[in-house]
Amino acid sequence: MRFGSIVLVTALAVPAPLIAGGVKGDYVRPRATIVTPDDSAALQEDEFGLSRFVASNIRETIYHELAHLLIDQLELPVFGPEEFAADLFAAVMINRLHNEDDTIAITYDVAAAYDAGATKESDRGAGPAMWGVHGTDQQRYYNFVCMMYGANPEERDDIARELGLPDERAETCADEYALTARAWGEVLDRVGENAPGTSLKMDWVLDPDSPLTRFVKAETARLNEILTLPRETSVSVIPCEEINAYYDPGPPEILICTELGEHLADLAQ
Amino acid sequence: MKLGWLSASLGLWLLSVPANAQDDTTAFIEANLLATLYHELGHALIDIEGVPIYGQEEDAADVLSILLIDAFYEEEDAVALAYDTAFGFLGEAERSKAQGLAPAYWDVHGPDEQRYFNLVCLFYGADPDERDDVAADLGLPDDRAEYCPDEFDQANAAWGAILDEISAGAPGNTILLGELDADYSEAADLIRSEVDLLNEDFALSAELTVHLAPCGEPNAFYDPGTAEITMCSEYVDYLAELAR
Repeated sequence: MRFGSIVLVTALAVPAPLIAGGVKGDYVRPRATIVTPDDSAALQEDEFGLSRFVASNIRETIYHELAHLLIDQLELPVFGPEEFAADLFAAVMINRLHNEDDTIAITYDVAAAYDAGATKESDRGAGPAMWGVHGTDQQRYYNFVCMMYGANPEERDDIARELGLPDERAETCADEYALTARAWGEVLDRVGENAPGTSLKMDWVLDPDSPLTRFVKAETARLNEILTLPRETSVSVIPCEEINAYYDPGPPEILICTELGEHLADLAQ
Repeated sequence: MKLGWLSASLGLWLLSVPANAQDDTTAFIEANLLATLYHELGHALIDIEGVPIYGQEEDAADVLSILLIDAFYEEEDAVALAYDTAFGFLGEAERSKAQGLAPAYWDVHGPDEQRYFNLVCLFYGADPDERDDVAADLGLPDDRAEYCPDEFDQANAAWGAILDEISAGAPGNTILLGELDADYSEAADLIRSEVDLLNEDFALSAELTVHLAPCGEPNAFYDPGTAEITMCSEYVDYLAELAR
């Protein structure tokens, strides 16, 4: 099998139709109505024709896969499950690379996608799979919101409240973010020493003119500005018959499935 | 890959084998006290040794606990400890369910059931040939099991490097006994002997104090401000209740 290794992991594991505001018996956290991508700003298209909601989530996915890449290529010691480390890296990258307004927009968009996944999980009735290598979408939702709040607690009090982060968790978020931002910050400083570079190269694409491809290409260029990698790595945007994204360690490649873009676009509607 | 720590000449720690139901309860309490002490030791090492934490600290502490159970004990005792610790997580999950509570997805710890599967996965992954039956018995799905040897290797390489560092100056006397609640003499004895054993194998970069003391809740925690682990007396009672 092509994607046979532990580091080959999904970003958004399942197709998850958005059922906004649905009330589920086994889904008890306060549902914040704002956690939907349905406000008009989230649907606004960027210069490539990609909606903000899709762009935010593709961005988060690229960062997540980049974490797997860094863990592999730099042989980073991972003291807990790798998937969680990749999620937290994405949060650190969003905070480091984007201004406050963009960071807040991305926070809502990514939270909304996890929320949709969580709704899908609870719709299955039996509850989410507790044995998976990824956390459940509800857990990833809270971890993500906690990180984004913890990165700037003074400014983002309202985000924590609107996205339903319980106080009991909120009180540790600043420390949690500081710990992971320091660990990942050292890694980013290391790969940043010889930047800019050309380590990430666009490779296979289904349609070079599609909004998704053009967006990924721009993101790749942006990453090349801030890092150089031990190994030249391809970035591809192609169909893979599932809603997913991967990092493949050999030969190194970040693969964004076109189906993921389509899925996110459907979610936003 | 650094696997040296596992094969290092650490003394194997023997547990008494339970003979009856009373002993089963004692074994359950002891296993969970040890696993929790190792978990808190994980937090202490992250702080004292400056371990870079890329993911969730709570998960990293859980992982160390499992690695120590695997490394410190002979197979039979390690398996017994793994079962009792796994049942500890399951017991908590069932207790919450019985109270009509959904898993606290927002918590800084993973849901108990998830911690259960992570434990079983890493313990199985440490020795898949030998522990096939443990994985089957404890219901580890094949879809997860296939990753577990890799997950173990990754965790063992990461924590192993830290354990190598703190083993280098061993034996040490960096882990100190603080208050030991006299009303819980068995737990106090366990912690006393455990601290001795840890000092035989490890010398930390700074002093760490371990207490067994009442704290008003069934819990255990590490305080980075004072470099102290507190195992709450109430936690011993809680485990006794959970064992039923």
